Amino acid sequence: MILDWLLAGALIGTAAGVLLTRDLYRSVVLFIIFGLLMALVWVRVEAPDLALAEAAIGAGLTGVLFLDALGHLNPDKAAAVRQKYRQPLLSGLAFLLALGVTGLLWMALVDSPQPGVHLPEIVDQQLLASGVEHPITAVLLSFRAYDTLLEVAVILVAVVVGLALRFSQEDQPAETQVLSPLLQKMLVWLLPLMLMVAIYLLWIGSYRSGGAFQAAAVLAAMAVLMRMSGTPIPGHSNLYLLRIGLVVGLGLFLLLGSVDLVSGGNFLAWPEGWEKASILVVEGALTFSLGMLLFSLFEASPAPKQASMTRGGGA
Amino acid sequence: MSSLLQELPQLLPWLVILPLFWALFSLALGVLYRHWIAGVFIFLLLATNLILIGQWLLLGDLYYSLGDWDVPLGIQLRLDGVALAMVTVTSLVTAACSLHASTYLDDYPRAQQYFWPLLAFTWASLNVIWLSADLFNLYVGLELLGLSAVGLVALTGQTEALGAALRYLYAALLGSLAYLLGVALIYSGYGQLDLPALSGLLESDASTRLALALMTLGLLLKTAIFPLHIWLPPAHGKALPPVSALLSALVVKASFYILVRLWLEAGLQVVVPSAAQFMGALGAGAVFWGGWMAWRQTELKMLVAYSTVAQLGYLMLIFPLMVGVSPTAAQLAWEGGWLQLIAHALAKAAMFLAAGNLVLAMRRPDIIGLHGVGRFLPFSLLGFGLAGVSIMGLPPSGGFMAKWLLLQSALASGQWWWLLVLAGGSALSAVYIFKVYQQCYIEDTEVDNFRHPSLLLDLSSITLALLALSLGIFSAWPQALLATALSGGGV
Repeated sequence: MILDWLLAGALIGTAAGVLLTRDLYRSVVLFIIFGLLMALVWVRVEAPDLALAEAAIGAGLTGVLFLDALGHLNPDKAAAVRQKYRQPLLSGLAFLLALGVTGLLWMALVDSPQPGVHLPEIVDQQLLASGVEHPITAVLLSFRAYDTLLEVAVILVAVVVGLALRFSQEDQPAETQVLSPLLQKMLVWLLPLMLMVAIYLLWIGSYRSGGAFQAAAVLAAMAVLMRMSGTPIPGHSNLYLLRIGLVVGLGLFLLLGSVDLVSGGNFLAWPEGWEKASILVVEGALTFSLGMLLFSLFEASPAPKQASMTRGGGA
Repeated sequence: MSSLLQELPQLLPWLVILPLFWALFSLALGVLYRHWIAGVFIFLLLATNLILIGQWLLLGDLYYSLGDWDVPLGIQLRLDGVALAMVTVTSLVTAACSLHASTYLDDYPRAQQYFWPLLAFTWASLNVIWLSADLFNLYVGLELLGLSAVGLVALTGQTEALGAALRYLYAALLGSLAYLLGVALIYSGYGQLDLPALSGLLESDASTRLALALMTLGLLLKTAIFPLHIWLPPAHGKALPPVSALLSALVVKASFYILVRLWLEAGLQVVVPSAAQFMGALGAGAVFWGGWMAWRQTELKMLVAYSTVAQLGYLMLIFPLMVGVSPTAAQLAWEGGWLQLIAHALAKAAMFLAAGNLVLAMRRPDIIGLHGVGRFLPFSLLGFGLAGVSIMGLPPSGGFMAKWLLLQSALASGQWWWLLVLAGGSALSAVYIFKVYQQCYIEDTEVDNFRHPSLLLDLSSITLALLALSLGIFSAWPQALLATALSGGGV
């Protein structure tokens, strides 16, 4: 209980810090801490899958993206932006608005109807029929696979927009690279370990917390580390390979989801008897593709120097 | 014929599968074969749409359980009269915009590569929203739609477009978050997300009211209803013409569609007449402010964009004209509201495409450049002119029929104040559209300095404008189609 109160207080404290601090760099660091605290909150409310995703994507990858963006920001402009958002009147209004919404939400939680339908129970009852043992994986890839399919499309669109804008920028800022001998030495050990963690997270997804999104975040983090340390990534500068990698996750999801449909059955009903195998194949493809997509979000911000990446593909 | 239609399997999921495959193909292949791929997939989608119309006429409303999981565990697709109308309008408008873009984008080689996948994603997400009756699935559809639309706006990479896209992104994200918060509250209170299942259940406690208010706020922001419209004019005005057409005709309508489903299908027992009157007042604000601002614009495409702000206002009249009135008045408002949406979709798409052609021809964005267009470019002007007839609400157009129905509904329920909005709005739109016509017939040059757009560009605009016109003449069929979705009747 005391831990929960401390956690809640720290969460609000860091959130306020993110908004109020004068230094953008400090703001980003506080944001990463906020993400990690949030992950702890998810653990406390017994949502380990969310905790994993929050730590990897919310704190890790988003943090890297912010830091990267910060590196490309003109210091004068950054100061001007900061000035603009430090008007006391606006801040006061925003504070009152936040307070009002919180109050309303509080009231809503007090006066809330009792649900007549309890979905988690139905999920448990139907779990056997889904072909996987972990309820969350069953919801994501069986009961509500349609939502997941579209969410993958959302991430793909985000990357497409990123790519479209990078390719339309004329000037190309310098490459980000950290040249530290310590990092190089560490990576020799770290990279294989991360790969193993990713595969493990993917594999256990069918019966415990884990799965494609979490594994993909680890893969993406791996690629970001390799990129920043200058370790070559196989097939990195091949634009066609990149494109195929981006679409393979959603493509395989769609194809396998249509197998039953084409043979007279239902869209997104996995073939009878092959439910678990289909889900694993889709998750594997999604892990690879999502990892690449998340990494591309990082890549899309700074245009790399290689001419093959920016000029290729008839853009 | 009819037995063939009955034996065909359910085609509903293909409305989403096909555009997704299209997007993947065009992403993987880049600019290679882009026109062929687009042609094949547009043909398949139009064919699917036609067969679905046949199946719907034969079998009535169609339902489809995805993955064979029933509600509330799974997600169900639903094609009722309104959804069928939306799907069909989407097919027509997107096909015409694709035709326009296939030629227009020749001038924008950089935008070529990513335009097609984003267009296909937009089409897929629109169909997702029309067919969905699940609150969370609708959220995912809105996310996909919002991001694709932002990408399309930013496509040229020009500073103005980028700024507009970023604003649009902020508005879309804020709207999504507000909507999602409402969905979470509904789920915590009722344990399910299916709209038809919720329709009898909703109670007017604090939690449900806050949920509906948050979702409404988010959806109003996404539909750009006055005074939350500020992001719309730059986003629609600075994008490429086929993109502007798509955004104004369809994308903003998607969130309005959810709003109507939420208020008039699920929440009918909870919403109160005063709230509905407030929604109507926002609409009235949009009609007048949008019309006034449209008249003040100097750039042709910005004028058309502000006209969208005004025309969206009429849609909001559906709420006061349907809540707490007689069944007759409610039915008139229901048909008039949706007809206005369809007529505006066709006419505004035609108008944006025509405006794009005119800007292309005069090589400058402002209205003054139109001098002499009437003599040298009558064909490019024709699309704009015909679309203007429907936007102004002159007979025999779809726009006229829609406003006529809304007017009759207002009379039937004794709400005379909405008549002022309908009349005043039409007068304002006549003023800003005649401002454009007038410039076209000023002759201060003897030389034809215009670049003449290709026939395909003009044709795609004129076709849509003719559709908007004929909608008024043949409005009986769409009206009957829309009326079937009003199962509960009026309140």
